[in-house]
Amino acid sequence: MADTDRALNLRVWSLSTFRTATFVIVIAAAAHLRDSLKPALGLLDTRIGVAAFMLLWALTWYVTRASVRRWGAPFESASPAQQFMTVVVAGGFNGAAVYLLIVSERLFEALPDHAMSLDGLMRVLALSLFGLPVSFSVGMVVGVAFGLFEVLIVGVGSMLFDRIVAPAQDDAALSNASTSE
Amino acid sequence: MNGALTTAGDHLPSFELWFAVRYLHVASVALLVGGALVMCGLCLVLAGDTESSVLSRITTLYEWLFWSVIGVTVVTGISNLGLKGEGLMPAASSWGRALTVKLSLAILVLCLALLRSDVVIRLRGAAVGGSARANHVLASLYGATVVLFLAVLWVGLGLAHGRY
Repeated sequence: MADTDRALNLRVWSLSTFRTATFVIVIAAAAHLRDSLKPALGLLDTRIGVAAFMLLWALTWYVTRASVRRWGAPFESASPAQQFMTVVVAGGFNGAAVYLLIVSERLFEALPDHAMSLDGLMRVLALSLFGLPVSFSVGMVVGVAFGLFEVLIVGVGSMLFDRIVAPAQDDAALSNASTSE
Repeated sequence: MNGALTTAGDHLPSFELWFAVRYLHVASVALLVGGALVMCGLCLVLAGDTESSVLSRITTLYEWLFWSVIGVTVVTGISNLGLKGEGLMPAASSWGRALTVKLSLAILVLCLALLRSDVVIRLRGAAVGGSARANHVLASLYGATVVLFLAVLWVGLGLAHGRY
């Protein structure tokens, strides 16, 4: 049981870090190809950039953990379609969580100084009625891309594993047969 | 990424920040490449030792280390680009093309690592973790990781030291 938990934890850790790191590199590569990387990075300072990455990492880990644990059975036993849907839904929740984080940060920044009126606060909350579903949908679109990639990679992993296991099981069966004789 | 920790009055990053980001980036890559090389060697050396579960435990440990350190590598890599400021060249320049290649190779490293972790997790869950065939497959995956990482490192060194 403990071994299964450890395997599941490593699965969650590898998937969440893969998603965070690949997402950030793809965004940076897209900005670079459009020659907008310099102005985009110029808007952030290093500490905020690192903190934003860590928060995204933590959020992605939490959402990935929730989606993989919700599956219940070992991740390996899920069909490609089930794995794909898990990633798409996790992407949606990740998108919504990022949106909530950004809104919370703005509110946290504005409220202590009374920089935002009650009207302003209501506007932000009203906007969130649209913002949340939109960010959820954007997250799901990102999830579709990641889902396709991950299903492909896990599929290759499964094939490799089958090639390792089949001969080993044959060897074990042969050895059992010879002992019983 | 070059605003807050700058020297007063100009927009250059402080030397300490630049040094810390670069040091962490290079040290984390060195740890991952060195670790993958050691893992490749261990898988080959212990290929005949089918009884021991030591290799299974070490590969799992490396996978934990890999996914923890690669996050640091990526965030310091992007920070390093931010600290370059005016040194960032357009995508169409030779430097820009080399950066595109480096980022693409980094994504390939991550895909290969996810595949490798998947195989390690499956083998740990199954009873065939110590078979010679399993160890050879793992050695190939760690070897491929080293080769891809060295390619990223080669392009990265060129970007940092003006080869492009």
